[in-house]
Amino acid sequence: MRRGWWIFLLVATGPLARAEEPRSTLECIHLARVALGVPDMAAARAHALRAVELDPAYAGAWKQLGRVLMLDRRYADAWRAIDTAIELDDRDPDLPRWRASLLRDYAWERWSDGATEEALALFNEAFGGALDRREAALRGAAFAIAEKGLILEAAGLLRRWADDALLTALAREAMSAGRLECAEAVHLAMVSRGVELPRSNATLAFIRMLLGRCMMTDEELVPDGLDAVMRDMARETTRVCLPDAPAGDEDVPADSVVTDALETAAQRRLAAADPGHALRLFTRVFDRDPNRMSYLGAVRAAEAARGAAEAAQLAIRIAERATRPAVVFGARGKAARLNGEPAAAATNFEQSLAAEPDQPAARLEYFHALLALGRREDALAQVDWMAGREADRQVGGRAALAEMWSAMGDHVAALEFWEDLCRRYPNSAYFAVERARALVKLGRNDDALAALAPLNQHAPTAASLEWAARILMQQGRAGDAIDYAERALELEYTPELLQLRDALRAESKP
Amino acid sequence: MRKLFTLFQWAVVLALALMWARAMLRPVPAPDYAPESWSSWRGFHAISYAGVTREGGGDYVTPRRLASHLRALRENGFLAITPEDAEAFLQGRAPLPERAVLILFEGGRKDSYLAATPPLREFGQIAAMCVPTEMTRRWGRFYLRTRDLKKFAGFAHWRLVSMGHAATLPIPVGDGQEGRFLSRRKWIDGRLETREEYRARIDADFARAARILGKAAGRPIAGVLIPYADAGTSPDADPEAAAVIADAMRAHHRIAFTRADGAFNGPDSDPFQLTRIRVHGDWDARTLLDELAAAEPREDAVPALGGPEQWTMEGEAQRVDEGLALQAGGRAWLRGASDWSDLACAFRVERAPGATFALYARYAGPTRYVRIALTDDGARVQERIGTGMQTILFLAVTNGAPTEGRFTLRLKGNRLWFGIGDEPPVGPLPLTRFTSRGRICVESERARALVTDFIAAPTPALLVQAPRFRDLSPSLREDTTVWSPSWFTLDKRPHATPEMRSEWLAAAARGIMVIPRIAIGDASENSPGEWADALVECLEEMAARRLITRVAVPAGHEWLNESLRRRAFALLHEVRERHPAGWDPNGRMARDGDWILIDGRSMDAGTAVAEALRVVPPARIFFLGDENGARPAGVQRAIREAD
Repeated sequence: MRRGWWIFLLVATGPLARAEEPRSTLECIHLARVALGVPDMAAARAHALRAVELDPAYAGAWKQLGRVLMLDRRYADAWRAIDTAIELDDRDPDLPRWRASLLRDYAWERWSDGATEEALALFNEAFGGALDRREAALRGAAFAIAEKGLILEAAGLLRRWADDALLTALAREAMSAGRLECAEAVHLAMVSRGVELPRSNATLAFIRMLLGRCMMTDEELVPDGLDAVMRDMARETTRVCLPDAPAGDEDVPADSVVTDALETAAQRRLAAADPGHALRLFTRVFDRDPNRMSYLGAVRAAEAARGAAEAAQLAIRIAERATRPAVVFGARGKAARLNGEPAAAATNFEQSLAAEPDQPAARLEYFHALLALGRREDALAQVDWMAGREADRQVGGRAALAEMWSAMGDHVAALEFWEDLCRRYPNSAYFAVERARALVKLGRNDDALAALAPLNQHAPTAASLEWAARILMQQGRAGDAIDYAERALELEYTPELLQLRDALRAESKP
Repeated sequence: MRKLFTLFQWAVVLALALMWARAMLRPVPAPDYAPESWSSWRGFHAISYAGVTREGGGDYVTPRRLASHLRALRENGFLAITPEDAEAFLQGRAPLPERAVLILFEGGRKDSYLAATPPLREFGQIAAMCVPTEMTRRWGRFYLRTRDLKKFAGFAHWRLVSMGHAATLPIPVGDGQEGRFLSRRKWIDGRLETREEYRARIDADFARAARILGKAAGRPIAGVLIPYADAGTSPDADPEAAAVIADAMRAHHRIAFTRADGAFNGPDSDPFQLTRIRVHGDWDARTLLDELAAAEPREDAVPALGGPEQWTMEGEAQRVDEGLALQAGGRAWLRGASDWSDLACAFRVERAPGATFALYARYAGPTRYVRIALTDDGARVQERIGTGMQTILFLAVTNGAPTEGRFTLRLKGNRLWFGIGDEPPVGPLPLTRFTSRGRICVESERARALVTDFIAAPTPALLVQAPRFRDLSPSLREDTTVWSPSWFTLDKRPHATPEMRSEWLAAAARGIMVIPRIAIGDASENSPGEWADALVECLEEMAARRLITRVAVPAGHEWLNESLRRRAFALLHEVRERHPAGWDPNGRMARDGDWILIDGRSMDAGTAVAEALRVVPPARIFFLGDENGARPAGVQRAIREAD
């Protein structure tokens, strides 16, 4: 007979229509569940609290209260309630799972509040429990922590809670997605746990090289016994970190994952305003494969790191080695622009775009060359092309389009795009500065200052401080402007900023 | 000759006058009624007669049979009590005779009064006439009249109990339909009365009867007897009826007989859900005494089904060789279990397909009980609270409907465990405070069921003084019903610690009452109020205020007791020595439901217990004995675990 029985339900099914106040904790729990279904969180909370009040020694009452508070995002109170329920009934299989889930959610809340240490402690507590979809949660937390720059903390979390198989899978995912900080944290965890050594060690060194942290040690470079890709990776690590290292055999396919990783890292370093390291990475990319479409990025990095002349030389070298028409003509066009030859630039870019039309960066260069030649109608055609691309929802063209409107002098249209970009990427200093620049062009200096204020307060850049200084100078507030200029100089010591500061000082003298 | 005849006439007249004078001047024997000599806290029986008629039969007894009943009661040591005695007893204010019985006559019939008065006088008993006062205003001699009632104030053998004013009379409840006055809404002008009208009608009826009877008796009427034992619990009663009737009863009376399912009412019976048995016209004295004996509370275990004398059968219920056979609608009450609270019960049931078998525990009337129901769908554990039935647990059945199985039920405090077969029992499941004690019953509906291997036992109370609950041995934790830790000292502000909270929760989760001990220390008597406030805060911090309602204090510190009482704490007095002023000099212990713990290691146990029993019932007395654990009979056991 006992075979046939199973626990189906533990629930109050009392009369719901009764007007009087519930007298039983089970009835209150039931009412709380009903209220959650509505949903009416205030009523659910009131019923759950009443259930606890009626029978504070009944685990089910605390469990329901914890559930309600959890759904109401009152994580700290929910945590206490669930812990009490567990204390009263350690056999309930729901409770450890709920506890781990709420700790995970609580950790994310604290993380978004900036309470990093507390969030890390909560993540550890959550992963130590019976968390549903634990691997996905661990991946999400570790990657987020790593991408905030807390590599050691992310690696510690992974080392403690991920098994070897998960670490291997995460390493593969992070590398293929180009999420280098995540990959660094995962490989650090792998190395410290001895997973897939020496491969993981060599990969860690390679990742750090890509990130611009060339922390070379003998232990990290152990090419013996590695496959071709790993040998290639180790060699590239050595070459980027130790530029004087002897060249090895170029027996690695040019389209290898190593080239892709180098190119992705180079672009990321360029976007992270690290042109020196970006140039070193681009150099290795184009040494391996001169037909890469990131040629303009490489030249931009060279221009930022070493000036226009060296950038032009790099462009010419790329054009000489490349065989892909779009790259050959595009690199020549960029060299011509850098050398002040807009006509040649326009001709070459036109040919490059004829070969491969979908090149927003090259089209932007072509646009500037056409403007320099006074061919506004042709330039406007490039704007139309970019607008069409934007209409097709192809990302990446929006910023170029905004830049084009600015260059065309249509600051109203440009401002619309910059403001949209600022909304989408609130942490982008470039978009914030360009937005301010458009506002200044429209004579809205106060709005421009207001737009720059958050950036200058929390994450100032030389450009944002410089623009603030220039606006303040226009407003006749030389003293404030000097402060901004000097702050900008602390971040980036450039002749332009020096000139600006000196001009401001001169102006402020009576 | 004529002169002689005249003399004879005068002699006859004189003789008649003398006889009349003798009859009038003969003193009425006083009832045997001496409350000052009573000392029992067990409880009382209540029996009621529908009427006394010359022919008898049915629900009515003849005068001769009534006299035989009263004689048998008297000869077997039963002393009649009044409704006011029952009230004082239920409030814990005064004990009763060892064998107490409350005799009720229902209906306010004059023939009952006339027939019962002589035997009541003869056997020194007292009875209560239950009067529906509307009847006293009717023409005729069948019912007592208003002027008759006025005489009751002077009758030593009679008291008055209300049956409402018109509560016995039918009312229109629909178009051409009639129903009970109390439990149905009245049909007025083509509609049912509103909730407010209903409530007002019932309250007015009780108020009117109480006023009439109170005026006649010269004092407020303590008791009310609900006609047809339907206090809003009949199947066709209005959903609001139970609450409406309860409110009216409580507004105008202090005790109420609402049930007719047993004779015995114990010290923990609800004063407003008292029960009585209706005496059948064909019961002889022996049957009556047997019925009362069967209703006596038992504290020993019921090791087996036993014979038919162990059960009160209703409907088609029968003790057969195989077990207790219940046909559809059959029901059997376990005799003597009317006051059981904590208990363990096991039974085997063989159920015909389609039958619903139910076991009731802590049955304190149709509105309060715990029920195990076994059907083709599965097993349900339910709790009845007022008009609502709450399913606490549903064990659904798969693989077809089992029709036979063994089940266990355990009740401890506000926790329940239910087991099927050899599986570990499910629990602890929560119960409300409304189902604290009552009878045990088995019944079957729709089809036949057979109960076998029945075992039931009340769980004795055990108070354990120990610093930590979790340090108790598993078996002692199981047996403990009250845990009393030494948490507080009056010279230190009460402070909740995580360990206290954890220990309290561990004990309370198992249905164990927690009574923290308070030591006096070096405290002054100046600020017990502030200290008690801090104690409330401390318990609230531990979420324990709702369940920790009693604290243990050394006896004799009335200045502290008062502060605690004002904050709604009940008390457990720890007595180590006799107090010069006596146990309860101001009567608060009895009135406030206090408990007493007698430290039998420091004083004469027998004397101490005897003195305590004069103050509170034995259920409220714990005895802390020596290591052998011996204790005087009737009181609860306490032990102290070493720190």
